Amino acid sequence: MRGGSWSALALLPLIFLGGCEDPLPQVVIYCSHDRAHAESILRSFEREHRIRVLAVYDTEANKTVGLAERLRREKARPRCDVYWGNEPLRTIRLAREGVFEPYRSPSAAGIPRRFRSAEDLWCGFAARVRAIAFSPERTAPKELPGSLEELVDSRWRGMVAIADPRFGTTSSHLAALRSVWGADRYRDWLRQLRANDVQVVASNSATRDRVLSGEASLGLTDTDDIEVVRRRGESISASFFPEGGTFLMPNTVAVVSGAPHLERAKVLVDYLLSVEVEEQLAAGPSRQIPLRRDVRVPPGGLSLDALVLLEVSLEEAASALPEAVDEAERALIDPPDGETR
Amino acid sequence: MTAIEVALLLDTLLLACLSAALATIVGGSFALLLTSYRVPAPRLLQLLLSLPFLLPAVVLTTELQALLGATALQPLLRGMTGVVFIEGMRWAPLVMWGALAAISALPAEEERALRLLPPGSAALRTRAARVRGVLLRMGALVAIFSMTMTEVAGYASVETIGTRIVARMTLGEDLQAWWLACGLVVVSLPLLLVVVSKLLQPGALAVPTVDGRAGLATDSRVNFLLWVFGSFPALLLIAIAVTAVPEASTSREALVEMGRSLGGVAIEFPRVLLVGALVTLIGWRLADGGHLWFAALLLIPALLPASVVGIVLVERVQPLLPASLDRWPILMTLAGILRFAAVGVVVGFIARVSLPAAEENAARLLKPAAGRWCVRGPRAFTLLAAGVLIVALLALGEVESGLLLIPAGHPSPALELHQLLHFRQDEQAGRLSLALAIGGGGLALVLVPLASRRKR
Repeated sequence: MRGGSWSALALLPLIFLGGCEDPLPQVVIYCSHDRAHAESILRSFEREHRIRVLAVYDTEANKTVGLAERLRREKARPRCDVYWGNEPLRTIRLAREGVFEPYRSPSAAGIPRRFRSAEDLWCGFAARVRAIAFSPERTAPKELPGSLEELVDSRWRGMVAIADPRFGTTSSHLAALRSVWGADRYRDWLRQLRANDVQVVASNSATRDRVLSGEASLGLTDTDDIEVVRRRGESISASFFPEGGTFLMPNTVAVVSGAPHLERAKVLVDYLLSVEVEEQLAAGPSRQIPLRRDVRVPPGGLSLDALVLLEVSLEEAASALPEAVDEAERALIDPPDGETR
Repeated sequence: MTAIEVALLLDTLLLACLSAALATIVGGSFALLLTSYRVPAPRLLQLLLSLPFLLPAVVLTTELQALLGATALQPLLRGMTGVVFIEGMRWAPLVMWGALAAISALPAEEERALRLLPPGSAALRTRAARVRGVLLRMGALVAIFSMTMTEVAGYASVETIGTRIVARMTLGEDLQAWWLACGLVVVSLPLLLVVVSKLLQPGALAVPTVDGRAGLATDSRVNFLLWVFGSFPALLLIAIAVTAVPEASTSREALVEMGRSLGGVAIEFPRVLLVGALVTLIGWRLADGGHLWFAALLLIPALLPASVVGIVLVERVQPLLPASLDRWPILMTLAGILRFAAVGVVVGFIARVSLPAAEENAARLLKPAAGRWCVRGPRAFTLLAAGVLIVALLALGEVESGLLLIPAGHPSPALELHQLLHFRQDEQAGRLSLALAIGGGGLALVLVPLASRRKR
């Protein structure tokens, strides 16, 4: 027999293909920011510091639990050194669970205090905002809603798309709204959205795609999702909320507690928080917004001064996340009361 | 569990059964037509009809939306209809392969007799009756895998129990997630029982001996039908290839990137082949030893969303491994083995019951190990090779557990595809999809002839 079993065992070394030793020192990063934008920055870091960056990039949509959850589950024995989050609320929740180690980066000096952890557990940089995607060919800019509340207006019935409210930046946005508006107003708005036949789709990119295909007139999504296809010549634009306030979502970076390569992790964090990286992200196809006022914004780029921001405490919004998601699930995903599927 | 969650479970069960029924009807029909008629270029046709399974679900869904999204056929892709249509089409090749392998193993006398019958319903019905058991098992297997679907359902905007479990885990509500996962297992038990109860039932298979296509009838309507169906996946592939063509100014970068994509696929191939080989050997060994209930236990992980399997491995197994092993995809491989053991078990048991009685009796005269590896093993090889291919392709497209378990810096074409498609990096995604299709097609070209070869 045993010939057969032994030959099966002989296959085992195949696992080790692709894991060969690298001569450069290494640092491991879990990156929730989109690969398309993050990869070039990390490659620049490698060239500049002669440190190999081993990255795991997140995927969008609702089929996976995501890297934030992976970090939490690995707390007993971390494999990661640096976490680059693409929104602040999950980072704050991870920080509360003791996943991160305090580190005050000298590069963070110019970043406003409200975008940094009071205990130096994380620090924000280059932000994106939530926006309304629309096609200028089908929807005139003057018709656009000035605030989120106008999305429930009957003229948009069945023509508004939103990503699954339990995942990603959509859930963060809803948590921020609940924290600012209060539970009653938030639940009421969700109910009205449902009554207005809002389309709930898999992800922010699917939201944008519904607008591109004409299935939806308006899509609540992130600026970078819109910008990448706009730069490819698609007829799509972003509109912000001059009346209700726009939700700003800085990227966040943190050193993982118990990081296997702590010193290199700090070098990488310093690099990511540098002015150069913010400038690079502002000029790139994700059209990010520098948090430092002195960072150069390219023509056509977005700056903090150009937006009316939603005044929200990120810490409070992070606390509101579970309730906001539960209520959104009940209002937008579950069948209405008294109805069966 | 709330009433809504129970309703969601039943909805998911319904979706899974409908998807499996569609996959069984479509895949089984293809297999019957391909083996009952003399069609031009049957191998090419088989490969084209297998394309929906060779491409990752995300590519299949995105391309279908690109091709049909702006047409009157758009409703086919939305809601429950969309889920059943896409899942059914995606899994149909799996059923087709199982049925092809089963039909290719019909006894010589029977096959010759079938070819003497008037072409058409009599021969088709007889063949269908002989492979009904295999079709039922393959259908139940598809239903089991469809119970945990999240991806296709997400694109079609349908909530499934798998999505609900992932949502609970994302919020750290583990207890609720496990409760729902238990519900999923309980609701799926009937499917499991269908698979298990049929495992040891001697089925349609016996001695594969008839070679070639001699005596098969030609029917232009069948040719037309099969080539129409075959050309649709070909259209998908052409659409991907057209998207992947770079602009002249970026052709050098595109070439480099295509090389990198192929390199990533090539690095992953040995690993997924290992998963396929181990899983199939385990299934075969359990089948050969008659360990039915142990084999049934191995079917259970297939009833859990892959994220749940991934989380268990991250939390419970990873802390036990030394840090020096972190750079190798050991846990990813383990997750693949657990997740797809069901395929190995089903293929192993189908292969085991296909042994002719005379050979079985002869093998019993030998020492157990010699009987297993020198008589029954070689006879089962054709089906086992198909099992290796199926599991390897499934493992290559795995994203859910991959994200939780992949070592930093390790290539994962499936994960990369998701990331590229999200940002509409269509050109790059097209090239990576082509690399995957080339890799998967190459593997199919090697293994499918092995699996359906006929011994004299």
